[in-house]
Amino acid sequence: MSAVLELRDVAFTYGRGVLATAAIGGLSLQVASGEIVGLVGPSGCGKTTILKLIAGLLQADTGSVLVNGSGSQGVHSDVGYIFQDPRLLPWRTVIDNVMLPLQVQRVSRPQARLTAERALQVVGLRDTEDRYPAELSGGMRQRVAIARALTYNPGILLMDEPFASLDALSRERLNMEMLGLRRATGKTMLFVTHSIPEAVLMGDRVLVLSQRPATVLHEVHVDLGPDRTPRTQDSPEFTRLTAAVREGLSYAGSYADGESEAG
Amino acid sequence: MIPNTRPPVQLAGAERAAEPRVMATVETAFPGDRRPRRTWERWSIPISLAFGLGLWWLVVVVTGLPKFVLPTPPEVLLRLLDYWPAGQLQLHFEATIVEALIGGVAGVLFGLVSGYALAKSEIAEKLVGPYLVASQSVPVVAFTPMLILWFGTGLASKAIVCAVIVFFPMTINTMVGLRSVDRGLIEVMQTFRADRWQILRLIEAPAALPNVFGGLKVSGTLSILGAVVGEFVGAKRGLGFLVNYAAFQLDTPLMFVGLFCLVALGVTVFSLITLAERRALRWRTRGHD
Repeated sequence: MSAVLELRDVAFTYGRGVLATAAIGGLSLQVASGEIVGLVGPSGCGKTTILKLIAGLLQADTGSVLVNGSGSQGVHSDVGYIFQDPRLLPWRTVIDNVMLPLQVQRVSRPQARLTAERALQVVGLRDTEDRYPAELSGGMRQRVAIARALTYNPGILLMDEPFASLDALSRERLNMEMLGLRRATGKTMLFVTHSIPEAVLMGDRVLVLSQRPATVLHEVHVDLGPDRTPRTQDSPEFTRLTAAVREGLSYAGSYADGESEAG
Repeated sequence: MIPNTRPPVQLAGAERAAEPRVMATVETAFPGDRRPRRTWERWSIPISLAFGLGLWWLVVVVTGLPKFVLPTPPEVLLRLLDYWPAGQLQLHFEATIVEALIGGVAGVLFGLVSGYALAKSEIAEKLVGPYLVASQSVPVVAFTPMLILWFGTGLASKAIVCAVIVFFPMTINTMVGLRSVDRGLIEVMQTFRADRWQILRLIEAPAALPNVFGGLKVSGTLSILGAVVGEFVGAKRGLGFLVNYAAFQLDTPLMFVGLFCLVALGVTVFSLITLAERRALRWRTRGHD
């Protein structure tokens, strides 16, 4: 498997002069095709910045960000982004929200509708097509956001704490759905999370980041195989892996998000 | 990232001027609720109207005021029936509607464009802002004679007065609406590689629509006001002219006829805009009941 995503010695600083804050310093990482990689790190260490650099929403000061082997200015077409909040358009129905990326690409409406309906099927929301986001629960909204990213159909999905605002059960279900999605489509995923169990449950690899400016401190390979269930979390192997990640994090410095361990 | 950390509105003085009390009462007077109405609620408007007319009549009867000071409702009605067949009233109506419509639409369009420019460009705001505030601190009546002098007593001068009045609230509302757009949604569009025009059409315009409608509601009534002010200063036709003319003739019943026509016009325009707003913003009432 070759790397579809590669960061080489990337640095990024917010602001200028005395207000300058180095968010990322000399960060390198690789993600192979079809791989799921979890990013964990101390609060405010620049995880979101890393995703935005990869998506092209921010441009690195130095170093290179390679997607499918090539660097580019602006947003890369093979990269999709799922934000922490669903960010749905409140004035559009579910189906119209999911069709948005295709509308931007000027795909004909009937065809866009077909694709959007399929994506809603994947996330189990076919019957909410004509409702407005305000009529849905938080978990459903986040699923709509996932369906929207699916219609965009990128090879690489970036997810910034996508399930952080959900209850534990919905979260677990969506974790499983993302794993199923990878099995079905072979998509590459890079996700940020505050939850160590979530990182281990979903990831093939977990990267532990340092305090700002962020670099990769530690890497944990998750050898749990591709077929995982919520019960995977009860195995001793899982416990060993979460312990390894936690150990890595304790080196990273203040691990301030005690409450998210429960998720 | 695109810097957008400045406060939503910098034209502090201007902002205050742009939010007349009308807007606040508009929102509370027409909430988007759909609960079933009770019987008495259905009759509330006729009851209130009947009560108002009755009180007016009572005042005239009790005080014994002469007709040229305060006529009774039937006297006004008789004057209307008397005046109507001549066909003059229709002409006055038409003149005011055409002036307010042309001027209002022009003012709205200019307001939308300048509101967009002000929301997007700090330079535009610095350059145009002072003029906006200045134009707002001068009462329209004060510069209307000048417009009549330049553009004559016909349609053009009135339409310009309307456009000038409408321009300001439309500009401010559009600007505030565009500035209030959720940055997160624009970021979403960027990840889909949307161009600037698509972001305007698919995100910014619909997101600013509630504010734009707020501006439109104010603009509707202001536009009629502008036409009437223009007609007062110099005109040969229009409802404002009619009221002014009747006042000079001490034909108070006719004056009331003109006033009621203006009320009817204002209420109609306002209702039409409210109706359009409800249709366009239907999503706001869904999911909250």
